[in-house]
Amino acid sequence: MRWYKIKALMFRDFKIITRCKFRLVELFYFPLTTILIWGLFSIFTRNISVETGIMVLAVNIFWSFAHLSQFTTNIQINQDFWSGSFRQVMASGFTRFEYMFARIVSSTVSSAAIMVYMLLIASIFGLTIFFEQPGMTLALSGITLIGSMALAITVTALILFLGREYAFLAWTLLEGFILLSAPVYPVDVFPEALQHLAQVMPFTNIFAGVREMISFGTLNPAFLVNGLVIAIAYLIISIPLYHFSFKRAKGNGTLSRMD
Amino acid sequence: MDAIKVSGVSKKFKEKGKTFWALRDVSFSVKKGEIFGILGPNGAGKTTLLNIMIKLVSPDSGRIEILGKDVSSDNNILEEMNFVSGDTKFHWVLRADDIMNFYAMAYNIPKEKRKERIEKLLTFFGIDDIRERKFDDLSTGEKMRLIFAKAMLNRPKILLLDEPTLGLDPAIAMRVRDEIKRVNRKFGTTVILTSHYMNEIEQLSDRIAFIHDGRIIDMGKVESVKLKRFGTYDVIIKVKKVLDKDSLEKQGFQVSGSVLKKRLAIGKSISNVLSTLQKNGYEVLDIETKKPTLEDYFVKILKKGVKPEGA
Ligand SMILES: Nc1ncnc2c1ncn2[C@@H]1O[C@H](COP(=O)(O)OP(=O)(O)OP(=O)(O)O)[C@@H](O)[C@H]1O
Ligand SMILES: [Mg+2]
Repeated sequence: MRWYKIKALMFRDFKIITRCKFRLVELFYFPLTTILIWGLFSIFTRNISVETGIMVLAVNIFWSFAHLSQFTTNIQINQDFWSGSFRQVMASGFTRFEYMFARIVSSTVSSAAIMVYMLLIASIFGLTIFFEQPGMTLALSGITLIGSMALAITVTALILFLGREYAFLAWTLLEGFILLSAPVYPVDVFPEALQHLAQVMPFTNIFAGVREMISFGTLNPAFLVNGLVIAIAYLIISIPLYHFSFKRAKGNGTLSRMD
Repeated sequence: MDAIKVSGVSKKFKEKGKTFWALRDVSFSVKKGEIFGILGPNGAGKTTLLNIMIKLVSPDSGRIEILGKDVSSDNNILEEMNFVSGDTKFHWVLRADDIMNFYAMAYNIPKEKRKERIEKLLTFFGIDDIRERKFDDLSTGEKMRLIFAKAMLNRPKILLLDEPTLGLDPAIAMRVRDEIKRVNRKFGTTVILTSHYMNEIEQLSDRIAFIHDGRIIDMGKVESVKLKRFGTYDVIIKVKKVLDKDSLEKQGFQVSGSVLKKRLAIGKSISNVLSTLQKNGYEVLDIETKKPTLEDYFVKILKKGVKPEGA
């Protein structure tokens, strides 16, 4: 991998974000409204059950972070297709992995910034544990990021495989994984068969860990270990998926017709 | 030395369950510093060939070597090339200077040289006043000039041009053609050019290939390719006065008024015709030879139903 290639694409991604009003709004507006909605909910539920509101708020932060990092990566790629500039970008000699990796790095940078921004807003509502335990927060965020990136790579692979009319996977696929990752409820609420599936969802351990942090102020390291193993497994599966669907798209002509 | 060597490249695509060949056993080579024109009807396979060269499509069989390196396995070869197509687009929100900076970085132009090179190119192409405008807001001509400026950033050894003057007004198209020629002369850049403008191909190309249905039908110097499909050409001679119409017609002239027309075999010179006329006391006022144009060739070859040479 050539670092100057990565840097060039990152430069371009950031230029697009800063020059594109709707991308900026997307990045800041949705996280803000999400945190405000659930922050206010936590005020409302304070008298009913102290933790519930804060827990929902905390889970939503990680949910938004997962969504944001995956979505940002995929939307950057989709925009290359939609703007008709993919062919020109690739003609300047990016390998498939440089192309993907640069997108992951630039979306990591912007999502991480938004994550801090969300945590800051949430602290207005009394959710401060993530600042009090920065190590845990960093670990949970890091694992979330790996899972999200694995999904981002998978989504790219699927779009290359199925064609660009499947671009909608960029904003739909993750929601199914969130549902099955048991965000604001424990895995036990699922019927038995689904429980097994839920155990291997990328964010199950993250959400369980977040809920535990809110309830008990501590985090069982098992959540981190399991979460990391599963996230890395997703990543390991996603990379060859991407590699082969890129190769196939190059063979059957899909790639040259992406834009 | 061959800058580009294409050997036995074939590519088939599937559309709605039907398989068809976009390229069949295409072979040719382009010498260093040569401008190689590719012409052929819509859907002939020209763009597919260029897509293979920029690694966006992989061939089913065959191999392409550029500057001695195998395109399919070398990751750095595109650094020495550049690609322009008439339908090139950049991201709509990016400004001209963003685009130039991005490509300068992508081609690893050192930071201290980047600014100067970009300035020079924007000035050269007469677009230094659009640097802060978004790509979407540019006119077709401004876009095209920006694309050419981008294509010169890495001082490519190989330039692939897919209908580069599509949609340009004649003045800008001429400027672009001049620029192609200038770059080719000054830097010895090897160029592959596809175009539907026959005069463009004729004006620029050292050699051409005519491609149809994925096959190369004819290849060679423009003149020889053109003439290959035509056995004859016309010479039109205006004389002061026709002295003996009958004898002229017997000699194979078509006579109308004081204008004589004679069909000659390709390769046969007109000096014999002229000397005979002069010997018979004719005063020649004007001579015009009507050789087939590339356009005549294009139309003829498609009308006749084409077969590759030797097939
Ligand atoms: N990516 C692709 N997937 C499927 N079919 C393709 C693809 N690219 C080209 N084709 C088909 O292959 C054939 C050759 O197309 P190509 O674009 O190479 O022609 P061309 O000579 O460039 O034509 P034009 O003069 O119209 O630009 C056409 O039938 C086209 O529909
Ligand atoms: Mg074409």
